[in-house]
Amino acid sequence: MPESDRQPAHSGAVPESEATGKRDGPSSVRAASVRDVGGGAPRLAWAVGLGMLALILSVAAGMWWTLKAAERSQTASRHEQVRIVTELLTRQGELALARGQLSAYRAQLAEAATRYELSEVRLTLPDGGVLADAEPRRITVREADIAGGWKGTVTRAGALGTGETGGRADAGTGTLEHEEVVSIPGLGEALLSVRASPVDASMLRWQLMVGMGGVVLAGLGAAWWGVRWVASRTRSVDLVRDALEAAARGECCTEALRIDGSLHRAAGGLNALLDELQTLRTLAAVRRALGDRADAIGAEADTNENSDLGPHQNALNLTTGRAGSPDGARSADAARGSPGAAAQAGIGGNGVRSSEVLRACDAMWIGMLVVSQDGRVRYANGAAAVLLETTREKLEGQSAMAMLGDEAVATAVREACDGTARGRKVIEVRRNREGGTLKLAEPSDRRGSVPERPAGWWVLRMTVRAVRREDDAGALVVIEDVTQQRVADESRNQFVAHATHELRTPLTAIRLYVEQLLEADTPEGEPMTPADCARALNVINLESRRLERIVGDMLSVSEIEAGSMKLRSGDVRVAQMLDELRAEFEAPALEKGITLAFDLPPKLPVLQGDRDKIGMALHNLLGNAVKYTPRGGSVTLRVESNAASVNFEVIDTGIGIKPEEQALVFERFYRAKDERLAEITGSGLGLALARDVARLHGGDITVTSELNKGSTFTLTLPGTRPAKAA
Amino acid sequence: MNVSQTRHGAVTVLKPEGPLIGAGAGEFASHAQEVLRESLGRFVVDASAISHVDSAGLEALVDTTRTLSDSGQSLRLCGANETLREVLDLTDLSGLFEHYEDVGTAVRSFL
Repeated sequence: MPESDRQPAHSGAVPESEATGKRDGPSSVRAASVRDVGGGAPRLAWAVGLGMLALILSVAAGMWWTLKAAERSQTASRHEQVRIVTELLTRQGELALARGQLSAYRAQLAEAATRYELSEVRLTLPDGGVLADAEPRRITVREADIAGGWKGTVTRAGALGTGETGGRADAGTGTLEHEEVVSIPGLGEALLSVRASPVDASMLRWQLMVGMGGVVLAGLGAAWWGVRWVASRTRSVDLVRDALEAAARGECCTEALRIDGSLHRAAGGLNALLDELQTLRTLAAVRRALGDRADAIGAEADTNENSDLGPHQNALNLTTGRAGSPDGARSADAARGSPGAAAQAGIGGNGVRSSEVLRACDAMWIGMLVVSQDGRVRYANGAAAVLLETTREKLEGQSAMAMLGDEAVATAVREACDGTARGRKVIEVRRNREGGTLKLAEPSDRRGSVPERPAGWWVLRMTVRAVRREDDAGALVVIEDVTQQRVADESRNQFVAHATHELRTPLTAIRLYVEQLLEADTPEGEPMTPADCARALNVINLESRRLERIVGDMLSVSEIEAGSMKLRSGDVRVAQMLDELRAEFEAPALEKGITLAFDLPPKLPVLQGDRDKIGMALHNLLGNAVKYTPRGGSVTLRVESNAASVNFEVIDTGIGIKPEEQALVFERFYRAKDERLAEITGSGLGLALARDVARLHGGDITVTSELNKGSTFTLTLPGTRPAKAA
Repeated sequence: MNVSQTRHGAVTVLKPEGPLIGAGAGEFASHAQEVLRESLGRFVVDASAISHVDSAGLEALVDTTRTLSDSGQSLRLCGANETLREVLDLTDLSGLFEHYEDVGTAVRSFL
């Protein structure tokens, strides 16, 4: 089987006819693509490389020719120089020797040989004697020997001589040689021969060669880089062109036409186009397939009136049918007809948007049911299934009234489907797993705090609304889980009930005593003794302080709730704070017959923190201990301090707390469910506040307790330093 | 592994204590699924006592949030320590969860 058939694109939604139609094309093109990617540089790159190589070679040839020409011209000018020097020396020799100045002439020859770099300058007589030479030791004829002149003639050697002067160059060594006849009047003829070494051009040649070599090497490097660059730039373009040519030949497989996208932007662009093409083909294939399936289902549904796809797609039409007028009209027709036809219209008309709407509905945390005119569920989203404790498969196609399980909701849905109700109807359903109803605590039940109830209870708010078109009807049911809201409402109601009671008790006492005092002041009233007056005023004072404390607690709670509680940090002198607490609780303890003991170390630390808040926390702990300890008991405050922390232990011999309630006593408004608490008032805020304060300071409060034996609350605060002076 | 379960109003708070690793993570996952079913997804995971997680722990958390996503919700985590947050960020899973500072804030998010 060809390689292309193993590609995912083919096994996916592309129709088999398209995938297999051009089976030869894909494999051959892919093979070419692979070869091109992995093989050498493209044609353009080779052309550029060859061009650059030719350029470099021609430059090198030009430089070589220039070097040779320079050498030739240098040799010619040296030749000319030697000729002129020879001629000059000849004329000077004729003059000098005629005047008998042989010594001066010899000196001139030596100087000329040095200045013009001549290897030999010699004046020879016809008999071979050397009359003058640049090298004095080669002279063989003395001046006295030629006083009378000499006989014989001389001739210039070699066949090169032309005209008056003769010159030649030795082909082997390149030595230049000139000879000239010197005719001295009154003496005779002599031959002046001059030899000179050629110009030394080796250094120049070497420099030029090195320069040329460098240029050639640099050129070759540049050519190599250029080839690589052009190759990399044009490879993807070549591949794109090959792919386009393949496409022009009829290749349809997008996987075969795909190119490595990292090569060039052009490759990325082609791949993007191929992706889009693939998507469009897939969509078209899905559309065709769905059309076929919808037709089949439509036929089946005509006989069965119940299919998997039908209700789903009808729901789509119901929810999106009004979006566009032509589409809406089609949807209305579809809804009147078979569900299969509706599916075709739903996706065929607005396929992408419908699937988006379905996805969006599934992402909602609010349950949604779409109910058809006959009362069956056409569509349910994920949240609806979870809230109704079932699955979507079980929901869809079932009777909505049965699934919703509440008579009021069922009636509302039926009315909406019938068209008798047009408005929105909100119904709260309290359910449990056994189908029971939830009884909420009455606000007047002031002792019970927020009632504990099993996890299987919940409150659903169902909103039913009719969904109508011209001659068709249905209902939309929106389901929300409002359990936590209702619990919060209850909690708030409990708080208001608590607060009312807590505030009313001291207020009643104050009002009664104030009325008593006012009546005593009138002539017809019963006169009060000073002791009665003092007692009344004392009660009023105590009750006002209690009111003040309750209001303060409530404010602190709301501050902590809102996160706006601020600690005023400063030195907290524990000794002083405990003295104040002792003074405050001695009287109530004595009154109740409770032993109040403070078990303190000799040296108390100074803490960093908010003095008022820490004082309030300890006040609440001690107050509870005194409040819940029966007559004859004892309350002990023990302080232990070390470098890391200070522990305040409030130990009482009170009524104790049940183990299961020990963690809950720190909750706001929580009051333990104990019959003995009925007569003891309390807001349920004290311990919650004390723990919040401890935690704001980086500490905590823990409790250990045994029922009927007593409790120990331990307040731990960090960071201490020893007091400077007790 | 020890998972304490408390109720704040109608919201169940699950607090796994110790590292969320290995077999303990699987135990936690099944516990969470059960609570999820019973509370209709009205629950919070208090991560303040999770010292660290391994791949099994991550899987447990991701499975739970995935189940919740069927009803358009995600798992509410509160009090996650630096280590856990970093692991979630590095594995690019952080976005699958809702993060809250403490239990109170997480519970109030159901209002």
